[in-house]
Amino acid sequence: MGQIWLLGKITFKEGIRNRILIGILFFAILLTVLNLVFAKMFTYDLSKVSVDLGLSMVSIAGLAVIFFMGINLLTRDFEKRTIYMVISRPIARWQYVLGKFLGLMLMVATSVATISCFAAGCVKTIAIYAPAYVPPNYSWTIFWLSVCFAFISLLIVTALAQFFTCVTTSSYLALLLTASSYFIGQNVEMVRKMLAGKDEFSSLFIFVVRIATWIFPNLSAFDIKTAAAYGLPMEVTSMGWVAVYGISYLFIILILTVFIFQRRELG
Amino acid sequence: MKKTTTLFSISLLFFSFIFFWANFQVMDYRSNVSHQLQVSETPIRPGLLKALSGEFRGVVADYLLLEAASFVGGDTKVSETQWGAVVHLLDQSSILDPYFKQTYIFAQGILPWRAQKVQQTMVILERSKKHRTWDWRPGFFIGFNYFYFFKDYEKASLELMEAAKVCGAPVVLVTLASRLASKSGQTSAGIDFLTSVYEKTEDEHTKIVLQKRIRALRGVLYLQSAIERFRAQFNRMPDTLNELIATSIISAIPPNPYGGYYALRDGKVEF
Repeated sequence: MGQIWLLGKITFKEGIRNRILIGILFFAILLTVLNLVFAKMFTYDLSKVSVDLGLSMVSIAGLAVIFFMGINLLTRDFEKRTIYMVISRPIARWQYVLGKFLGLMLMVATSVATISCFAAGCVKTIAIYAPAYVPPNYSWTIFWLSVCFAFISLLIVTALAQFFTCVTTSSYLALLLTASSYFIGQNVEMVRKMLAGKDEFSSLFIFVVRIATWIFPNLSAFDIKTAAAYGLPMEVTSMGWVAVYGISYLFIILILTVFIFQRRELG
Repeated sequence: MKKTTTLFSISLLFFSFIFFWANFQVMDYRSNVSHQLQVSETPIRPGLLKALSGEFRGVVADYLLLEAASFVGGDTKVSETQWGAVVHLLDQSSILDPYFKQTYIFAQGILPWRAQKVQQTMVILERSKKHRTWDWRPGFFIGFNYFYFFKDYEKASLELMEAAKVCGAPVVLVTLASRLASKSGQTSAGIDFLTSVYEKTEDEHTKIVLQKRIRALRGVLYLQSAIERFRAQFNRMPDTLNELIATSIISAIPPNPYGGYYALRDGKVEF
């Protein structure tokens, strides 16, 4: 565990050296200004607009950290051959994978925590200055729950990015495959529902889509932004199962990454 | 070194001058270019739009609404095709976020009046009504549109009755629904509805308002049944309500709780 924590810390520090914190902070300030200006352009449900924008920014910032920094950090070890320095030390390969993931997780967590606090600040400002324009059932619990689910969703994308990096060892391919998986994950449930009960599609196509729903993560299940914006009632059991689904998927991907990395020739 | 710095400064000054001049020209040139709806050119199917928006559909819905609002709010004279684009934008926005209050308020405030797109407005309102179960306004607007644009008093009354059941709906909705029910010949339904609301109401002021309306509708029902009896007896409609007394069908016209008198217009009793 000590080795994993150490590697995680090093990866995180590497991120800080890349001025990730300044980037996130700059983004958060920009978001605050944009959020308040954008919400002012509407005349009803102002806090909804603010929640929409704030939570979307949480996801965008997290994805940016993964795509533009995470994948680079992961592939740099392969491309610059620094991985030899790491694995020549008494660190097991599985520890390397989990350590790197921990580091990226800390980066994503920093981004999510910072942006969501700024977003919450914007919503609170609107709620104070225009209380009549807040949906009647608005709930902070659902807002923070939405942030947590966005975080789980981002961790899944991080795990996928790491998996593809280990498989391809190329930042470009890993970026492409992770982005595709993200896009499929966002829409796979909708496509499956659209196809359900329709005869015009071939059974092979429906079968492929059904298989895809098992291979790719259903990321839309983690998107509860609308519920957070209006304070729509949430079913605790169903949300609990979504969390279990996400965490179990995350572990499966991590195990597969370790499995592939253990057998990988690094020559 | 000095030569390079001089060259650099001259180049910077030269290009800065060109840039400022070009920028003024561009601003001048574009001052007459009115805001155009881009989405109107490429109507995207709802399924694809949802897929493309992914987890950012809330923000996309806000943006589409803003696009429509800024276009309508501009000085441009809107053509029929452009109204079609506005409807399309609002519909897309409503599909992406059917809960958003601003979408249906904007649609109701603009489309039926300025673009005569009542049917399209009804689609957006129905969507909002289905999702915003805590909000009485979409149902009220639907009822209003049935009344004002389609002259379908029965449907208008039913919609208003439904809207009146939503928690927080103003009591005027109840009385309005009952009035329309009476206008469409559904007076008994109106009385039943008012009575059911009256029984659930605890507020004394509301109870007085409802009681008044129930009395008024009972008067209408009483007079309507008298008119039916008159018609069965004389094979024609009475010219005035007083004729009912003159022919001894009723002994007196009930008092109108709102003051004034009941009147017979186009074969219907009004108060």
